[in-house]
Amino acid sequence: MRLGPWIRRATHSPTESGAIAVLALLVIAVIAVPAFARRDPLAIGDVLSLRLLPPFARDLHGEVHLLGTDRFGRDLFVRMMLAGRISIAVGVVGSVLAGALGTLIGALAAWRGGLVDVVAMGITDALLSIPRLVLLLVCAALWRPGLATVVVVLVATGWMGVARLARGEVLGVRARPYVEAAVALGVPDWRVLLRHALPNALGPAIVATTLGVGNAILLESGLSFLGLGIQPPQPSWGNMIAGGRDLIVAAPWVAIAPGLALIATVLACTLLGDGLRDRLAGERGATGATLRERA
Amino acid sequence: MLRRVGGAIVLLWLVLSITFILIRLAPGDPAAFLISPSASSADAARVRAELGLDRSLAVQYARWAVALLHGDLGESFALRRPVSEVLAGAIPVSLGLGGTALLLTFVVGVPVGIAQAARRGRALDRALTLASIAVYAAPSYWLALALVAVFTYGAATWGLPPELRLPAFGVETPGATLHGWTLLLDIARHAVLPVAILAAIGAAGIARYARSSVADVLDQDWVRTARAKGISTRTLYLRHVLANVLPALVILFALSLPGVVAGSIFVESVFAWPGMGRAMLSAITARDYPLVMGSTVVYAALVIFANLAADVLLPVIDPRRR
Repeated sequence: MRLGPWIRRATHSPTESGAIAVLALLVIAVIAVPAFARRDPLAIGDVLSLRLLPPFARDLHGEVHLLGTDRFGRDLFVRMMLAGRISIAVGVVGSVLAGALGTLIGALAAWRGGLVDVVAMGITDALLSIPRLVLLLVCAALWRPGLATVVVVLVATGWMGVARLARGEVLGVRARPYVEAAVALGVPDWRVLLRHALPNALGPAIVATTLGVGNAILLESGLSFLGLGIQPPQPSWGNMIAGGRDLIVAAPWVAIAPGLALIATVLACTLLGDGLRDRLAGERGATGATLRERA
Repeated sequence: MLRRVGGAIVLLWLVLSITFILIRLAPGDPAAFLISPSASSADAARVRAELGLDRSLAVQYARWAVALLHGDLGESFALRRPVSEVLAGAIPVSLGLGGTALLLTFVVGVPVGIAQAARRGRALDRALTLASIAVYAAPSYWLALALVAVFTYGAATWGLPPELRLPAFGVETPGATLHGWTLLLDIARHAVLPVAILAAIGAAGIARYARSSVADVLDQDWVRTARAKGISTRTLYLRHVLANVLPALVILFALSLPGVVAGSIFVESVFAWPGMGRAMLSAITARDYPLVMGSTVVYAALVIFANLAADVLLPVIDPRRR
């Protein structure tokens, strides 16, 4: 499967090019804004004069705070962009690693068959029948919370769906003549799997992984909101919303603003993933949406 | 049928065993949460022995498994009450919340999906698609906070009528001694925001599904035939289309249950509802192993048996699958 033509065609669809534009803008902003910020977004400065300024307010030093400030007088917009670095990175890394692990397990189960298949799919089904959030909470809460834990837990609870997809695809590809030909020519088993079977079975796994990015961002934010994910002072959208929780009446913008960034990101990821899926389905003449669990 | 039920029970057992092992593998000593920091190590050892934590993992597993087979979920470490008692108090709260939300999810989501499919590709369809994806992309706890801001802060600032100043926390007004209808009304007012959020998110997911399954049905030849025969649009949708998407809706019900269950964890946390989600969250942070296992039993059983029910019901309503 070649991604080049897909991306070229994606830029012809207004929804998808919009989604790509939003994501590109966000990535540039989360990298650039904290880098050029005049003050350290983590340091607590002149709390009394700076705290809880409303959006667009100008402080005593004449600086404008686009989205206002939080209870410690830190600029909300800069912190939100810094949080975006972590949230987006966790979402992408968590989802891609989960996709890779799932593809590996699913492909091996289909390729080896027999006992390996039975055991691998048994565990997959068992894990799939616990609501992902429950599994996530059990894992995340019991280990020391933090960036690494969140990624590990997202991967550990996110590979199953992709594993089932990859298994089905590899089973389908395994019976194709070109795979039989490769085996007959004496190509080593693992090489047939990696060079011939897997690349032709990757489509649905890639779509699921793309859709999984938004989902992973949502789940990370949920964990962080509950205090089980990214820990302050390191900001993530989830723990920023948690930080504004008891200010929701006095200073609603502190909790509302990070949520809007989160929604924009997840929305763009979902539209992009949906577009990919529709195009893959179009190539195969099939439809069908997948209901995902969310935070 | 018997095979399916057997399969579901084996699956449930596997889920519970995995959870058991995961919890015991985690670092952190539950006894440390129960004794004062100044207690001696002998005290800690005594508490561990009391809780049965001094035995090997295999013995702990065997004890837990035997107790579970007798219907005994054990005693909560932190609350010192039987787990079944704690859960019996929490389940009705979550079930009421989730059940109402699930019902509304379908009442709203299915008609929206049908309306979208009927006007596929038009402005209304596009707008609703974007709206449903946006709602689906919003974290439930954020929606909860946003609604609290609107209906408490906003209602006071903009001078909304007092009926619209909805309570944001708890199940009922604290301290008030209400009975009969007034109590019911009080609970209903407290339930509006949490139910609305769960239902909105659920409906957004269901609408997307209903749209695609109705769209598939509308493409069928017999729909064209029915139209050519001259039946009214109303009859077409009620008698023909709905009958054909019913199996998909049953599967949807099973699929959407875990989402509602999981979503309620956040909503309960924000609105301070004493349900399953809160019980599980506090149990996890306190290393309350029996209560964590107990709530996992409930969640997993709910999901597994909802799937089983969908499997069993499907041939009943769809003769093609018999």
